[in-house]
Amino acid sequence: MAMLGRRGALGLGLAMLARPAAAATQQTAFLSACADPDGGWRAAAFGLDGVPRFEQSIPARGHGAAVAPDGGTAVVFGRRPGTFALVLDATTGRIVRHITRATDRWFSGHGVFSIDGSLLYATEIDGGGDGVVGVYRVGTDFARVGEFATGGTDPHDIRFSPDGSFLVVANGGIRTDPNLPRVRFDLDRIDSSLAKIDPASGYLHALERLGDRERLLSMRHLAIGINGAVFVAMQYEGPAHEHPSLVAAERGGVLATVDGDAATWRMLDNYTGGAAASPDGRLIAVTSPRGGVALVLDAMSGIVRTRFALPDGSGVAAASAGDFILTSGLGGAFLASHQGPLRRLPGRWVDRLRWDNHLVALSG
Amino acid sequence: MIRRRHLMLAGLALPVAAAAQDRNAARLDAVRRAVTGHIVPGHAAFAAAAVAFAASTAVVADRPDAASAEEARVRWISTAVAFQRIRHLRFGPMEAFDRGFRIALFPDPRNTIARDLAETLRNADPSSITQAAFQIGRIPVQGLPAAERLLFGDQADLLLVPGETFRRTLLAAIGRNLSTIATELLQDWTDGNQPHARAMEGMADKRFYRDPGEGMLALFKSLHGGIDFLADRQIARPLGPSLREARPRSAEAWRSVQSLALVRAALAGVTELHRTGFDPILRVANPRLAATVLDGFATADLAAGKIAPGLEAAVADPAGRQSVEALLRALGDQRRLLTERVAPALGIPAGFNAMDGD
Repeated sequence: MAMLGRRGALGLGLAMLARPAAAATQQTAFLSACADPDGGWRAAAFGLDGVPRFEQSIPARGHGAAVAPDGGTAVVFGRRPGTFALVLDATTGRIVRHITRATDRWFSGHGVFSIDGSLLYATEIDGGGDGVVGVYRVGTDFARVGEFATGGTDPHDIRFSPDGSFLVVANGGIRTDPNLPRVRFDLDRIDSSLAKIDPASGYLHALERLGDRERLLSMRHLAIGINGAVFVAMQYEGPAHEHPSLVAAERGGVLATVDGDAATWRMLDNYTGGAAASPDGRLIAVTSPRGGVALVLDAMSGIVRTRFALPDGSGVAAASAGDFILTSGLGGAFLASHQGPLRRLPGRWVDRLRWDNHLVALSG
Repeated sequence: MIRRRHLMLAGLALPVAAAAQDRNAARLDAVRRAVTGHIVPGHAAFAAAAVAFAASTAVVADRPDAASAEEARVRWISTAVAFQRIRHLRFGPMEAFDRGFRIALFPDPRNTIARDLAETLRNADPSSITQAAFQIGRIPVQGLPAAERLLFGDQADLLLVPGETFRRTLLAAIGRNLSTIATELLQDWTDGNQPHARAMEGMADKRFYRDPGEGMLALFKSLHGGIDFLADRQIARPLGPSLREARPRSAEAWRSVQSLALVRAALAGVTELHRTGFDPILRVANPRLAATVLDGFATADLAAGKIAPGLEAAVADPAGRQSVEALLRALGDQRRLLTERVAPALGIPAGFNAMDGD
């Protein structure tokens, strides 16, 4: 494990401007952590045709993945508190590098490549549960070259703002201790925030919180919508009979929950698993494996456009204009088209794997 | 040719149908075992305890003295312990009419119990604590936590002060309320033409469950959710992430110093649900896994047994914290085992995203 100074300052170059995400084509593959029928942990990828691209054994349960801008490399992160991140050849699935956690740091399950692909940013916690972004130099060794504070505890998802000027981090705000894996402390004192961090200096530009009445919401997953709006999928840890909105949006420095009818939020069972934006950012999909439902929202109005029933559905990624691919922890991947009902991807292989929390598109 | 293909398909379908029938029979058996071995006796014990508690609170109201108050305290403890053994069954009868929350509003992050209890005592309005009023609201003041405050809280001495008649009336009203809810719960499970015990089978009565598998899924979620609640809310909450951040007064029953007893009862409850409902079918599906799960519950029980003298004291003491952490690790292992191995082994459609996601 590499030893690092705490909150090491970085002298990183300015990030390049972002490119819009490409729409999926027939060649696009989708990558997710999963479990095989015998309980073996895997990272696997498939196409819209349901045909496997690869199925790679991994040492423990995985979580999210980051894909390099050139599409040639993907990094799968161990589930929090994670001890590893695996650099994969995005075409073959071959593990080209095993990144071990740094001393007194644990991976939180998500990461993102810099816009120019030269750096990898990973959410992590220290031994006290405070959040940091670990910065890794992309290359043969993926050396950890620095880190900076996320300004909160329990950092989870991380994305770039569309113009590449900020890293956006969802601080879940739930106290955890990596030495007591998965135990959550102080669920009635959640301090969740959305951090905007300078990717070069680590300077914390903004730390936004929801109102006092929404303090039991934990911000966890992110999707970037049209005009740079940051959509946040959340979990509610307050009384189970309450059903608040579980989606927030940040626009121009203002963070607020998205309105919606109570019946919609009740369907989600106070829990969301994943979020994704359509390539044009006009649609945001949010999944709830507990509620067994996925919602597609209009990014401009926040209005729910479509609902899909999918037990244990969590993984979600944009497929093509207005369509999303959803995966289920009970097996199977599905095309959620705005034009019709869920369509199961063909082939037995995709059904036999139990798909874990997150799905990302690998470029074709 | 067509005829032959049809025959072939029928030939293939027969073993499949037979397998499904076997699976359904096994699941039906699992549901029935859980109902008769765990759910019904657990609810009967809770109802009996609550009836006795109600009687003791009525005596306090009629004849307030040290002995009657002490008897009510003893009965409160047995009722709270009995509830812990079934609290994880938060569907059907427990979900109906908010019964679970009305029995025990915990946790209470907005401190509504203190606020509403103070207001109720200040207003001393008998119409606010009738059974009818409790049925349509006033959840914070009608359950076990409110009764605990009256019996064990800072102002418990006031219970015997002659002028505090309304305080005693409120305690008796809570006792009656708990007794009513506990009795209704038991009746919903066992009595009438359509008891929930029968509905869970998903056979003749398909109002809530279309087949025995759906009944078993509800029980599995209760098992997993019960362990989750126990770990996160009842144990990790007072433990806090460090000694400095320990919060003994966040333990569920710190006023009566019964938090550990409640934790052990909750653990015994989920263990019994597993042992009666799931263990017999898991032993058939995967004997080694079945043994591992039973070992895991035994490890958790052993760990709970080492916490001393109580949860409130243990979380505030370095050595005590280690014993509490050992219990949390054991419960975490059980949670993972159930999600990642038991559910797939039994073909229970409880996915790991819903049960243990981020």
